[in-house]
Amino acid sequence: MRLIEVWTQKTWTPVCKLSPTMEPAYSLQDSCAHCGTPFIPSMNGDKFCCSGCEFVFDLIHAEGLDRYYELKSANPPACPLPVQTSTSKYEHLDDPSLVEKTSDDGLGIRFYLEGLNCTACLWLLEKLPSFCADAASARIDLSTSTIEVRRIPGGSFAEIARTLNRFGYRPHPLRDSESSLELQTRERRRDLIRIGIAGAATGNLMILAVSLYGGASGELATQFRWLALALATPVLTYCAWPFYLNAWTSFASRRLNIDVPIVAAILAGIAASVWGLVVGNDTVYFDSLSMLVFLLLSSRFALKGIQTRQKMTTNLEDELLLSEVERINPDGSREFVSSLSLREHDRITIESGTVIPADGVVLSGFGSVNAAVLTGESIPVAVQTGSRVEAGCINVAGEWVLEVEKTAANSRLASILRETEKAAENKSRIVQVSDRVSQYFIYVVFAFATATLLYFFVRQDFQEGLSRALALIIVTCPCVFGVAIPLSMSFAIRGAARRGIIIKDADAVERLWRTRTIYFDKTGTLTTGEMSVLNLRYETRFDLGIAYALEKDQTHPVARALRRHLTDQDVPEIEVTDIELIRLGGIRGQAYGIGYELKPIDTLSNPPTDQREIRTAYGLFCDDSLGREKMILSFEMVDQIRPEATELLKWLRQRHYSLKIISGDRRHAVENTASRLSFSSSDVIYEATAETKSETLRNSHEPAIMVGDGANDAAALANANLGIAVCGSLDTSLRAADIYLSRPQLTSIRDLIMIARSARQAIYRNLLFSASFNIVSGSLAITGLMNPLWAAVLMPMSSVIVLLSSIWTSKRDLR
Amino acid sequence: MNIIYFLLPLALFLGCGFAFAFVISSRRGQFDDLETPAHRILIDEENKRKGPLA
Repeated sequence: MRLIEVWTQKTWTPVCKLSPTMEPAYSLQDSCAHCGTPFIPSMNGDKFCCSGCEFVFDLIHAEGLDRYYELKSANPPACPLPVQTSTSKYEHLDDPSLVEKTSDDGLGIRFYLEGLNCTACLWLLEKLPSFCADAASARIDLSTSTIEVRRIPGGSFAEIARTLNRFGYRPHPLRDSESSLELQTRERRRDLIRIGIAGAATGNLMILAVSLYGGASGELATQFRWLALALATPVLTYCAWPFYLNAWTSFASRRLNIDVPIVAAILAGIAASVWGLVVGNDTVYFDSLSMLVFLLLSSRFALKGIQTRQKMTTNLEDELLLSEVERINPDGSREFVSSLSLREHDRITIESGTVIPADGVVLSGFGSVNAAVLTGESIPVAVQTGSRVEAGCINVAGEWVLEVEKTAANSRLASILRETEKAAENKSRIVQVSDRVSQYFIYVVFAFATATLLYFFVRQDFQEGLSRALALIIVTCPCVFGVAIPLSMSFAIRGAARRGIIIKDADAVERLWRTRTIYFDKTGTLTTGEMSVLNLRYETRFDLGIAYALEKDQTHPVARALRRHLTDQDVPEIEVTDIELIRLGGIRGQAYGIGYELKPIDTLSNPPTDQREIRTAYGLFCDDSLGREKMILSFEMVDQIRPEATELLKWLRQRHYSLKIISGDRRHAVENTASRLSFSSSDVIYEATAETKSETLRNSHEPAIMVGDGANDAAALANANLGIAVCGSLDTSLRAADIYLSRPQLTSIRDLIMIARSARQAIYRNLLFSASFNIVSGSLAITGLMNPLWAAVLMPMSSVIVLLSSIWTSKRDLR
Repeated sequence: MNIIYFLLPLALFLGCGFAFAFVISSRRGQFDDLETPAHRILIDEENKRKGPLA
């Protein structure tokens, strides 16, 4: 029997064709004809790792786009990724209120595309107009993973999004309007021009400087110095303008930032140089000053680029404002609209597992919501008719109708988000600390400079005092704090993104350093979570209908598998009421006055033949007339341990991580998995509810990482010191977790740890270097052993060393 | 040493020329996307006609 499920567009997860009954094929590995992911082929000679890939392969072939594979084999992407599609119909994209905001003429839209990673994708998607009648043109930007599509007049954005989705790229519409985008582009271009001019001038200044240092003298030297002034003027005025502006704002608000000493150094340098030029001595530092401006501009530009990109992929508010909701019109008809077009008193349906798009009151239905995003309290709160719910909360169970009171933009969440954004600007703790340290540092440097100045003033040698104070200010630039730390962090985040690991903020990288305990969820994390139903036994079709109705709206993998299994079968529709979740992933409900309960049972028909296969049995019980439980239906779920799990766990154990399993599954199934992955029995927590999971993580003695699959571990992920979501929906996972692994491979965790560690190394190295550099050069300056000229040469040098060290580390990691 | 009075302005002229060229090309958006064109060049024929979106 082949355990292959029909891949319908309803499932967005790859349904892996791992066939557990066929041992001989296990030694062979093949790579998927569509995505290139290695997989274990069955005896039927499959060419694909999952039916999603097969579908896209056929689609590409049918459209006559086979050249995609030619290009792909010539330029293979760094990390293959099986096809994942979304269930969304994207109907909200054609909502007029959204269309207005996407572009000036309402014909253009930008999507962030998941799964975009190579030349072949570029070729395929830019041909979009040839196979999607609604698209007029498409242009890809690989550096931001975005596609800009224009539709033909009267065309549908929804159809375009559906086409993209069908080809295996999950589109996320971007809210930024054309005007804000243009503003960003203009700013970027202006920054680049500043860098370009500073670079050109500095290069030419160096030529002059070399001959001056080399001993040019007399008339020629004077001419060279004046020429240097001419060349440096645009750099020190136009290019350095942002620094002056920042320094002035920070000065005016009495919060010294890093630009203040930079500007102080620049102005002091200019003053000394002009003085030197007028009296004709050799204290002319235009070359060093230009170099300083050039380097600072470049490093800030790099940082800005990474930040914009990061912001785009993880902007919570944007996601919220752009979600799709089903609105119930006054006449009872239902339509999908963008959450942007919601008005007060609109009625919308909230499905299980979705994020609530607006503040409002529940009109009918009941269930529970997770309000962790607002309150930090992860235990779901029960809601019923009349309850008030807030935007951003996740509906964990039930389906209800909501009357909108406040739209997302006016919701409490939006205001909280705006405040935190303003306050922290997404700075991680270490960046904040480094900001504060550099502030103190600035005070200390200025104190020393003033002291030096005063000392020599008293000794009647003002000239010498000025020279030493100047050298001190110039040489001790807190560059490492201002640039190198955020840069190392950004490099780490970017390096991770290239491996399909999305890190929400730099703080998560920091917490990775400190955490040595890892809790793994079982289903869907250590195992593939793609369950198949086996040995389904039932007495009447009515019982089948009950089981189907119970699991109809649940998001648990068992429910998904059961639904898939029953999709093609003729299941009678039965209305089950009072559905509630019980322990161990069980579920209870009422139909025709009789209570039914679907829950895990112990019996196993036959022991598994394959080492990686995990089986769990489930039974449907009803209360018979005597009040006793009677089993009327049973089936088994088969799950597979992820092939790379063993390797990863071994690697982690070698590095002395303490590893634990926490699972909601039955003791038998969990212990079975644990023993195959060599966990000791004390490290296994079984039969844990969502509440137990999040409690365990919250009360953990040492900071702990929770690794789980998005939807059903949301609470634990949010409560852990660090939550890592393995392959779920991007939106919901990122809301709950700090880190999201977009590739369904556990080995990403190893990459993640390596990246975080090397970022830490780079930061410590830079801190050590700059501390010793500043102490040594500062003392030299104060004791008069270093004149301002040498200070001006050494300062940019130290910055360059720090920058190169950060860049070098990240380059090495990316290999 | 008089040659310097010819060479230096020449060098500066060239330098200014390139700086100017850089400014023009940044304004026209040549550096807006540094990744995609590197891939686009690997795809020959058909796609060449398409310019950037208006």
